[in-house]
Amino acid sequence: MATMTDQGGWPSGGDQPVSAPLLSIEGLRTMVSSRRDSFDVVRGLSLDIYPNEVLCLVGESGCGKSITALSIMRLLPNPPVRVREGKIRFRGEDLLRLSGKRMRSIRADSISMIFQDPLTSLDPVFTVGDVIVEVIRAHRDVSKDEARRLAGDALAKVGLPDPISRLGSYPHQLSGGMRQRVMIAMALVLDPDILIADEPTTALDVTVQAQILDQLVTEQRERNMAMLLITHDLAVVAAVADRVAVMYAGEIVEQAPVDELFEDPRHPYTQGLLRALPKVSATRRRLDPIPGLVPSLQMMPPGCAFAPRCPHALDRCWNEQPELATDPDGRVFRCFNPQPFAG
Amino acid sequence: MADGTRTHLETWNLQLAEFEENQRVGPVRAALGRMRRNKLLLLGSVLGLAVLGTGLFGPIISGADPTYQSFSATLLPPGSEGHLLGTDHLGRDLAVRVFIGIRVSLMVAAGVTVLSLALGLVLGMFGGFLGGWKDRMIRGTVDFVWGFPLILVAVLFAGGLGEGLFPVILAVGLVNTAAIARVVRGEVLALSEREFVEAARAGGLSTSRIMWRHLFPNILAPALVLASYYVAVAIIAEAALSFIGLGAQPPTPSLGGMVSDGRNYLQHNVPELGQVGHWGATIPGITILLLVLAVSLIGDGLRDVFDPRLRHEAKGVDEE
Repeated sequence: MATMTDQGGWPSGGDQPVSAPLLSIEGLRTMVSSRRDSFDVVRGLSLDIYPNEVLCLVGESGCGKSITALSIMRLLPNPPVRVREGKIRFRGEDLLRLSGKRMRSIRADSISMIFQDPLTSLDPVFTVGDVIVEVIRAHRDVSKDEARRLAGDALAKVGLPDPISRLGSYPHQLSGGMRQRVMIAMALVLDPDILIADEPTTALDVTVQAQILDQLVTEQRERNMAMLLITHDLAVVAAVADRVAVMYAGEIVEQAPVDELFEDPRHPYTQGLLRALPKVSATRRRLDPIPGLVPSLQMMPPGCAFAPRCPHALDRCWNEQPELATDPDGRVFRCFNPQPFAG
Repeated sequence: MADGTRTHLETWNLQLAEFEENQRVGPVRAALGRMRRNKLLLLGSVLGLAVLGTGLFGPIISGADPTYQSFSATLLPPGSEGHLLGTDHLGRDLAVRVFIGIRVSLMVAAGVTVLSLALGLVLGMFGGFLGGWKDRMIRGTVDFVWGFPLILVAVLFAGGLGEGLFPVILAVGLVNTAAIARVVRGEVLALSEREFVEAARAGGLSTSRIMWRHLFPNILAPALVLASYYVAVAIIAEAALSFIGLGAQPPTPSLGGMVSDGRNYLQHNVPELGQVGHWGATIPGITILLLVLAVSLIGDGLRDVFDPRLRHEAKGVDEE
């Protein structure tokens, strides 16, 4: 299980990946179709996840972050959402072509996922122990007692006080933070290679958010696991990410190590996001939002998706789609007319 | 506050007490405790047990033959010697016929409930969870059945299979199946949106396992409550079908059939008494009423105990 993670792919603060990607998304197109029309919500997304890194996928609501995660897990609500084309390579296999049975064996065991709302992610009629035991026994041929012992260990590891007696608790007897710890324990109990966390702290209050993030990062480091963290919170990104991918309207517009992204964003959307952050030192009291709205996914402009809101848009930007390209400095972004960032 | 009504604070305190009880003794024992304290449920259970006991043991104690006719003892009023509830127009003992009639009603109700609950759960769960063309097919069939009036379905079945209890069970069972499947499907749709189902998928569980382990236990309580309501529907439907002659065939006594037999004497004076012989119709009629009342009270009580959304709602509304 841990063969690929031993190398350490993109350790924190590192500049270049030193090993092959663990999971590699190539040209993913995921579409929503209804009787009336159909359109892509993820529009040709390519992304690599390296062993041992925390990769943050950021973007505003509806930009396709969660759909990307669910595409990897093959958990899209189909209909109406399905993957139209693309490849998701994991250990020499294309996840999108696996049989349902093979895919089930990968979920939780190799690629695990935790969801936004821990309040509804646990079945109210089962105890916490039952739910974790069930996941263990779906993948490993162990006795109930052995599975229960593993479940207790997992709960202890994620810092749940009194784990053994908590195995017998029902979800309603736990607080939000405790429930999210249970979800983390369940996601990690089989020692996955990749953890996908879809806004794991959005539903929690701020103090608990910090604890849960801490726990996630600790686990990620200890287990040499890769983590794909989906969030719209740039503070979270700054705190935990090794590398960041910024999504806009279903595609990645910029991708960079976290320090480079915050110091020197290249894409005008990333620049706009950073400019919109409130600053402690600022004398101006008004925030600086990005003008305009995200284009409707049903009616995408023919050129760059960001062109209608971009202060530096050229004629070319309206007619031609820029590719995600690497510039001479080694920076990866999708723009014809990058401008230096002026805070 | 007027008697019998509660302020919102009192209602809230009640719910809080319930929650604390849940925490203290666990959900199962808390539910049992609530059942014991629920007066409707208690009344219904006592009534239900009484009626059930009469149906089970009445014929044994009475020892009378429900089909024995005596033309020298027709239309005896209740309280006559040897005939506690009197006799009908053929001189048959009404008491023992009512007892057997209760048995028949309960048998039909049990058959209908088992059939409709099993089939309704399966159809509703598959339709709601699998979705797509399977759902459309199931939903179409269910709506088709649901669209027919019960009596028409029963007449069709009686036409195809002959009169008797079996076609009645099938007809009422299928119509009730449609009702239960519709509700179960809706509940399953709501449940599938809940993240714990997605979390179970993310945990690598198979569809059948998720349906069996996560949907079924969550759906069972509402389905049972619903089924208890449809027990009452089944009893009334059987009585109605027997009344018009499609249900139990003579000589099998059934409550609906007895009402039908007795109704002729609601207008006729009985010569010896100089008054109408109403008991041939009223006694089985009242028995149907008690039976349905008992079942409904039990059903309402169960809903109060198991469906927290509806609990306490009926009371304390008028005060606003």
